[in-house]
Amino acid sequence: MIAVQAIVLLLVAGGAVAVAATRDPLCQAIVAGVYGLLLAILFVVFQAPDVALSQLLVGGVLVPALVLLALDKTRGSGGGPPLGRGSGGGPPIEEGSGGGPPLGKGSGGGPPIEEGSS
Amino acid sequence: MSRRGRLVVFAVAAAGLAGLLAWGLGGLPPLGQTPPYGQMLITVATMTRQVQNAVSGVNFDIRLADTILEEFLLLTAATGVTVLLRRLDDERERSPEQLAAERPAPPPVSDAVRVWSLGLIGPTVVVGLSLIAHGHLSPGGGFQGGALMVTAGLLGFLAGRPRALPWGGGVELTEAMEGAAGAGIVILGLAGVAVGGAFGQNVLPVGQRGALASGGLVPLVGGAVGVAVASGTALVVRAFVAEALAIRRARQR
Repeated sequence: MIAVQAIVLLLVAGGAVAVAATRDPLCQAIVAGVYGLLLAILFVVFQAPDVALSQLLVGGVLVPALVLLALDKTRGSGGGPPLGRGSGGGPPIEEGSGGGPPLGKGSGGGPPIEEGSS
Repeated sequence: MSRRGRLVVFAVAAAGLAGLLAWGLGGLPPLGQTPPYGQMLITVATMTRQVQNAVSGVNFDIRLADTILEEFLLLTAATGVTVLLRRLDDERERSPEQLAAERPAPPPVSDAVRVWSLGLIGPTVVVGLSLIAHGHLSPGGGFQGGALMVTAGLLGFLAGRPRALPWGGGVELTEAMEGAAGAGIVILGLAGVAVGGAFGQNVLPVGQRGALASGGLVPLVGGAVGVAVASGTALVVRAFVAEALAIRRARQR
């Protein structure tokens, strides 16, 4: 049992790093969902089935789904590419405003946030 | 602040956090050893309340006041976001239909996704109801069951028949359900005060442990939480889905 716990703990640690290391928000939603499933397994292994059920639904389903839907909403109507790695065609630019740069993958536009702005 | 200055601040903060973490982790009981508090709660939940699932016994009876405060915390957060994102005088709100007209067509949903989504809706609803109904007997409860019911609605969205969605038009009904369920939890808690006891006191007969009708107020509170979580989450998801639904409806015409 200790061995199983150690393996799942390592998997969860790796999953957390994977979520933080994923740059594209779309991919990140999927990776976060997998991480949520890993956490649920961790809770089962540590004999907390109630928490595992909550984690399964919130971390594995609802949060990724809401992130995906939010990405769809922000990318679709403003200027960014539509959901699904929008490869085809440029985004339609309507009424000039075009909003800020799309979420993540900032394709130019605003000034870079990093580095000494003193 | 310069990059160097920020690094210094970060190093100090990180060292402090690491020290506090090491201190706290050093004081934890060893892995696998149950602290006496847990044993005591299990005894109280199973012996005096006849609730088989001690977690539900704790959430819906022993610390009902805490659970209610959590509900209000969610309500407060939702109210805050609604106020923050409200429409200002110089802004105009565009309906989902208007937004849909300006958007490119979404990629078609594959038949496999639609078949599997459709086939999973029924079992999901049944398991969700079972989780809510048996929250005091086995792992699960109002929160998990309610969230699973919303998952069934998401599957309906994936299956691609917008008109069949449970929250297609009944926004007012869903809002009323959420409000009634939230008020129901408080009223159930006030039942103890009504009979001259404390808030959240378990006033119903607790029955036989393991029976469906056991635990007194616990299954009732669990059901109310289930309705509140399901309708509240459904409203949030619906707000996101409305636009995508409008697009699909426009394409189907």
